[in-house]
Amino acid sequence: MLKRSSYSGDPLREMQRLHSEVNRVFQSALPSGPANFPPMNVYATADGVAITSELPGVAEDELEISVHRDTLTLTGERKDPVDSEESSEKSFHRRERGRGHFSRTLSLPFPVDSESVEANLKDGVLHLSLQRPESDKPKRIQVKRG
Amino acid sequence: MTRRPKKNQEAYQDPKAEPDEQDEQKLPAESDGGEPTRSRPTFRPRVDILETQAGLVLMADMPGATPESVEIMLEQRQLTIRADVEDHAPEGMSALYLEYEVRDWERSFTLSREFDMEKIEATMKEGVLTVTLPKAPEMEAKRIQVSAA
Repeated sequence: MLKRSSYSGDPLREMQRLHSEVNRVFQSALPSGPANFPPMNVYATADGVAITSELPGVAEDELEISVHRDTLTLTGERKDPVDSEESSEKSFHRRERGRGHFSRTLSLPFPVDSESVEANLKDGVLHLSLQRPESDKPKRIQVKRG
Repeated sequence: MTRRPKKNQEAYQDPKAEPDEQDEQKLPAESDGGEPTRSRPTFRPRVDILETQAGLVLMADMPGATPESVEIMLEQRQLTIRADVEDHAPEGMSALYLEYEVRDWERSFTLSREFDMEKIEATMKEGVLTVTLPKAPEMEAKRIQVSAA
């Protein structure tokens, strides 16, 4: 049997495979935060993808979003509360919140137009809207009567 | 064709598990003892509690919560923070891949008495709730006379 690629035929499974693969490669290469921050939800239509992500404590100017073809990368920093408190004497009773640098890469099901990315960060929730380029959209072909 | 979203089955299994820094899955609700105002399960926000000379600073990650949706209640020494969160999933789109769920946030803490309960302040910014609890002025030491019987 001729093996053309490892594509399983299931786009969802394929995306998850790519996603974990990309995460694995990048996490091993970069010294960054936990592999699963920020958590992302991906929604799709024929025209594009919408992504929501929970990023509590990340300011707009501390978040970098980059899109290259079908790869989305979120990079940023979560401040350590130790640095923001002015008092010199401090101790933690609980320290559960994540902190520090994070970087996460997600493979999208298709290439997107990096010019038409819309991003909105509000109340710790990021909304991303990514459009499929016109040239890449599936076209409906009219069948003419013979 | 619509596909049912696959959810991470393992994420919410062990409610007794201590928060793990490497694994940032959402924490399950604290207990069944509370009385939620909505019959919806809640998540327990991750918190940092920092003690300074001035008092305690409590910071809670509550993405999706707004200053209007946050409720802070103090009853006896029990401090409860909660927030109603509206689902922010885009309408009319099919879920392709889901890593987190959206639920209301709720968590309770028991405070010691050394805080000035009147001066508790709270702010909500970028999905993080910060509650500042100033220390009460030091109580005067009382000397109790022991009288001879």
